[in-house]
Amino acid sequence: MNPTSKQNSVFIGEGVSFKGSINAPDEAVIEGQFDGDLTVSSLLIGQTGRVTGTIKADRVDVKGELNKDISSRQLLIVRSTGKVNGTLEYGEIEIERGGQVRGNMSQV
Amino acid sequence: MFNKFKSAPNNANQEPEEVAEPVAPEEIVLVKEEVPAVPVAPATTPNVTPSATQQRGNGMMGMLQANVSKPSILSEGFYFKGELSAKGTIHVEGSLNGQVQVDELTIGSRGQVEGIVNCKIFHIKGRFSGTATCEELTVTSSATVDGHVVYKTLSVQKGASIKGELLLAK
Repeated sequence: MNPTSKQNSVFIGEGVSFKGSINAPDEAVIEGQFDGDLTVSSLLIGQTGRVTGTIKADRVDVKGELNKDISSRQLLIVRSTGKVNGTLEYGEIEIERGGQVRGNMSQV
Repeated sequence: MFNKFKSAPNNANQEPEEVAEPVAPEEIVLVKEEVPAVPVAPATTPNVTPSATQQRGNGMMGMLQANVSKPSILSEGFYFKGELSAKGTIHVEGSLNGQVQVDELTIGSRGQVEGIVNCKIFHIKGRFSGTATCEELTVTSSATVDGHVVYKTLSVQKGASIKGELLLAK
């Protein structure tokens, strides 16, 4: 499925750097760099993706890097290549072996 | 006190051997183990060895402990308070309060550990609160972790509850 063609979704490709805030009702797929506030239902950070800022999402899937304040109300998955730094708030968490998590964690 | 832990797994391992002596087929197994070099035996060997390995597998409680020799077990209902230091594995199903220094620590699903833990491999299925420093941390879905954990490799199953701080050791 091509993520660029989805409704209510945003896709930031590899090599793209974005600063600002995004509010997407559905999905955000980030393969590039994102700096700022992000409110989204489902966030997917690809292996090359780097997200820094205040993140609010229901579901987060991290294969790349995610920094600062993160709130994942339902499920947060950190894949083996994923790196998460900062303050974490989550409903459920899953970390694959090799995934890196640094910071304060609390359950919603 | 500590000797008591050790004696538990020892007994568990001795039991099957004691049973094995009076039973005839088991004696054949013992002979077979010395035999393989002799070419005459192969017809009966495959029939006997699987049962022997199965028994050993059950004796190990079906856990992935092939390279782990005799874990010391703090069983359910047991409450330990103080300082604990050992080489090898400790399996906690009871309650442990204090300082622990060990190679491998497993907190079973009914186990509880509170305090300072220093180990290489740390499996949490039950509850942990306090400060832990380990190389390999595994948190399963039934686990509750509250506190400060320093790790090198980490894996957390869906459903686990983690409160506090996770730090990556350099």
